[in-house]
Amino acid sequence: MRTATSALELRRPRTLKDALAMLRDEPELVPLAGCTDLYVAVNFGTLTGSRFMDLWPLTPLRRITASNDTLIIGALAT
Amino acid sequence: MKLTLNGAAIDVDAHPMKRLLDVLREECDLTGTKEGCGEGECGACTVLIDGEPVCACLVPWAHVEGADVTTIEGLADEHPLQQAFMDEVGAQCGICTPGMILAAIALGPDPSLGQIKEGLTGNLCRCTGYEAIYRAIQSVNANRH
Repeated sequence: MRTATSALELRRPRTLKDALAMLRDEPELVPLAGCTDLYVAVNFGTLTGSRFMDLWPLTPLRRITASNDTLIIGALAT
Repeated sequence: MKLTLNGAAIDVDAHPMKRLLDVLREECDLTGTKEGCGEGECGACTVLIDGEPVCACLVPWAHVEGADVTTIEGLADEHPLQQAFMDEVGAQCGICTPGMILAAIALGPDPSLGQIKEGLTGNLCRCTGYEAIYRAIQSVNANRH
């Protein structure tokens, strides 16, 4: 890999509220989910930014729910 | 960080952004998982995370916290697919073989040829032409590991 992953910082909020507070206080944080694009960019040496916020543990974003005529698909739903 | 690796509870300290592939090979000394392309195209580094085949080159270590990870070493040379790959000469250079076998396990028992071909589309082999691999998988009822 062209970029050392040890140079990357990963913040790990445990709740959506914490995640929103982190983004408010540190707007340079880049939210991460599956990380495919991140590691491809690391490999190509084209990664921009070094501070990331991990959405992966935020299970409320993993849900798909239907309510009346509204379908809500969480950002982590696959 | 705690997780289950090849059936054993482990606690391994590594940088959270280090690739699962690298932690397996360097911290855990499990070099059966191979690096091919390093960008999720070839499937050589396939491992099972909670039973699902995943490219370990695209997974940060932090994402397997609490997960159940299986590498080729977790089969302990006892899975019938491993013998079948030898019997049918489904391996030549061998780089793709650990990922092929783990992806095949994820197909479940007794997959059809169509299911095998579709299930292995993410696993590239530049030696065998695939036919021997398909024969090997068809020759056993691959049980979910």
